[in-house]
Amino acid sequence: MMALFALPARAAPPQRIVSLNVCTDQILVGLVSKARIAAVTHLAADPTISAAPEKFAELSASHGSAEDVLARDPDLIIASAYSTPATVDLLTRLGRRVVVVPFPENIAGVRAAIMQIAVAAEADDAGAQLIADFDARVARVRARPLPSEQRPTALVYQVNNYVAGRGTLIDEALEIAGFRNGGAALRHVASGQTNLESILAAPPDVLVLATRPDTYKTVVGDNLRHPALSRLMQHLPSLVLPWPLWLCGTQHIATAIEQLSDARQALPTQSIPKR
Amino acid sequence: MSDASLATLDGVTLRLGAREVLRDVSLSFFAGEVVALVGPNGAGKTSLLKLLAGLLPPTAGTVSIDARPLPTFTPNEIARRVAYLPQARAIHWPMTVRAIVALGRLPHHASGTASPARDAEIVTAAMAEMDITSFADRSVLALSGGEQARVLMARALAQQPRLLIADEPTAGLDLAHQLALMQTLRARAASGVTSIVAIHDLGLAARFAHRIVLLADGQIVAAGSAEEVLTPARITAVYGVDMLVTSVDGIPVFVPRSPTHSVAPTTPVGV
Amino acid sequence: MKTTAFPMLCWLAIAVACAFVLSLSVGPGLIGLSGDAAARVLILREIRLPRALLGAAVGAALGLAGAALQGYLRNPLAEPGVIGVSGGAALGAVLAIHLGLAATLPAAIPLAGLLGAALATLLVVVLAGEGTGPVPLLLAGVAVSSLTSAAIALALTISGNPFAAAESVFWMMGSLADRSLPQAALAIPVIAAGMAMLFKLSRTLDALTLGEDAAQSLGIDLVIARRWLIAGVALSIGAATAVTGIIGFVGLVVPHLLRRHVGHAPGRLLLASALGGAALLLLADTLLRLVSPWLDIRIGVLTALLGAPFFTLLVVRMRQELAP
Repeated sequence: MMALFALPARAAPPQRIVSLNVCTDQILVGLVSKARIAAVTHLAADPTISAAPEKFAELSASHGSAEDVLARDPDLIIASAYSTPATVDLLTRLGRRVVVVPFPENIAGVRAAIMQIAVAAEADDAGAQLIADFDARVARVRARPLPSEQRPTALVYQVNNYVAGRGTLIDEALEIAGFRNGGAALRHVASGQTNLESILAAPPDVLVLATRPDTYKTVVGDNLRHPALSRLMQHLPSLVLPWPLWLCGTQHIATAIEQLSDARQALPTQSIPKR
Repeated sequence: MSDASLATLDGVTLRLGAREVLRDVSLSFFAGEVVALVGPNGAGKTSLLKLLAGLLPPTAGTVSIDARPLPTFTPNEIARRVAYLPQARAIHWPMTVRAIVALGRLPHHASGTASPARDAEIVTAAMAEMDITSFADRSVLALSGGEQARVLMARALAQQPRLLIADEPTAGLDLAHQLALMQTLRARAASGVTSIVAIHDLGLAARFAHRIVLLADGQIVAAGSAEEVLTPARITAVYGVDMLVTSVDGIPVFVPRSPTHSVAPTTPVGV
Repeated sequence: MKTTAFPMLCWLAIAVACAFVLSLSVGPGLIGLSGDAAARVLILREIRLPRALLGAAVGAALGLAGAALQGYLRNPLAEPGVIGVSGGAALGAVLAIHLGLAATLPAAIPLAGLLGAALATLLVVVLAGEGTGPVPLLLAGVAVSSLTSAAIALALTISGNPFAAAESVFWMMGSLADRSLPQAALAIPVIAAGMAMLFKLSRTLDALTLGEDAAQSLGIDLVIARRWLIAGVALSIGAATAVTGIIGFVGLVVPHLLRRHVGHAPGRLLLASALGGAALLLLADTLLRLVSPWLDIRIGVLTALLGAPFFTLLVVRMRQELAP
């Protein structure tokens, strides 16, 4: 009887890992060799969502259903807090090892998520390395002297009128790069929708578009193509900060921070109004 | 009555689906006459009226008004000559009686030959003729069936047609208003208006119509004066009813005695 | 009681004018304008003006098309949505966008919208058959409406757009938010053309009060009238839906509210409903910005929310009238 309860000695780390979320996909692929990944999500290779779609080209994509996952006979399943609870419950009840990774809301959360996945995949060394690289990149940005003492406001603006609010990962990224988050004034809590008029009435110093205006030629993208916004952008510094870099809390947030910092450094001092 | 025919059916056949509703019917109608169309259910009375009103195209033959085939008229040109009162009394919105009667002026609006003052005059006159002035401003749907029928007849009169086609206009009317309606048609006839009415009451038909057209199985059985057409033998042949035809003070009276076939009474009809 | 609708039409026109000015003067959560002078000009001209113009035009189209359809079908439950027109228009617009037609030709969206509206209407007419009364027509409308909404959801899902859900909500619930002047310039002439066609039906609708045979005998060419109706509804609702999505309830409730004030005459109801629709949509949209600047409540939700009590009142009144 005891033999049933005794865990088998871990002869080898997990070799058939399935990730159920596009964010965990991106961390996992930075930690273990592709040979150990049984399946990722179909979104991982989608350049509008994923920060490094090329890394997933040869990987198998699951539909995310319990049946599809089981068919791949995984020895480790990595789910996100946003994964379908029913699927996670079912896989757990069927005796599969499921690790649920919380959605990182800040830099510390990104480090924790990387560590959690690394430990689960028994890739502790790779995890430590990834975090060290990440920390170094963030530290380099923090160490850059700012051209002026003022912190200009930057508004991160996405299709469908979404703006990034306070207490989000991108909020912290703006802070590190030397900005104040303009979205905090529009959205007092978290992220959500605003309207063009509010932005025009009190424009930020820098407009950070999350998507190129011509990416979504549909109604959700109409706000980024609105003539009024185009007029505003004629005399307002702006940049495109690709959404995949900061949509997920992954190591790629460092790239977002670097790009924001470059924009901050390039900002002419005189264009920042005294506040 | 002038000799020039107002409306003509020439060799008209009408097929609806597989059924031949009218077969080779030829008839002329003259200015200023009241014509009663009689015949059993399914004889083709309504179809004949719809053909004359231009609501149905004939399968074969020609329907003409003023010696012009109907298809050469625009709908509005027909509407300024011909008014049609359907058998089904449809009124879909609770408009006032006056507003419903005023609908008769629509064809004249569309052709620009109307003035509001004259319209109001004509509508008022038509309402007076049908004895509905007292509820002119009430909702038409609040009226009884017979009252609604009079409103709809007033609408047809307000259209000021030269040819008035009415499908069972007396159905549902009380006795006084039945007589009044037929007298109105006669009065209009005196000023040259032709009326063609489908009617089941042979007494009313014989008394008020200048001419009777008896229809059965899609064909004309007889046409002419009441005395010529409504003979007991012919009524028996067409309706399958043994009919006593007489007259009281010069008014024709038709008394059905018993069906001769098809419909057998369960108890003998007492005399 | 001689019903002349003229004073009421004047009041409605005044209401539209006031609602238009109000719509221009209300921003998200505030009355008036904020920002510097340049921002004020930009906001007024590029944000609030197209919104107010579209609110008036789309509201008028919805009210008018609802009144025309109710009159033509002689059924007070008809509205553009019920017979599948707006669903068809939304589907047309969605397909134009997702097949990339919109990228090559800006007018493709309203054009596809009205083509979709026309096809949906024709499908409904063919399914229902002619002269079969209101029930088959409404059933056919329900069938086509569910078909179009399913097709919209399907098209958005397979498009792979991560914002498919947001887009579905736009098309199904409608929105006047952040529409632009070019969009208004594209849609309003087409809406106006369709409305002009529907206004021509005034006499036809009055005559149809007496049924199809009587209407025909009053000189109405029903075949042509039906074509005008379909073309007019397809153009006005097609173009409106193509830029603002499906806005429900206005087309149903406005003719109801105004009918008794024009003596129930379906012809006179047309202009009244157009004005009433414009006023209602402008006011609803203004209210929306005042009460929920931060919440993305859709205009269709608010019109339904405002319309429901009116309808309830109507039912209560009707029950009282019918009570023995």
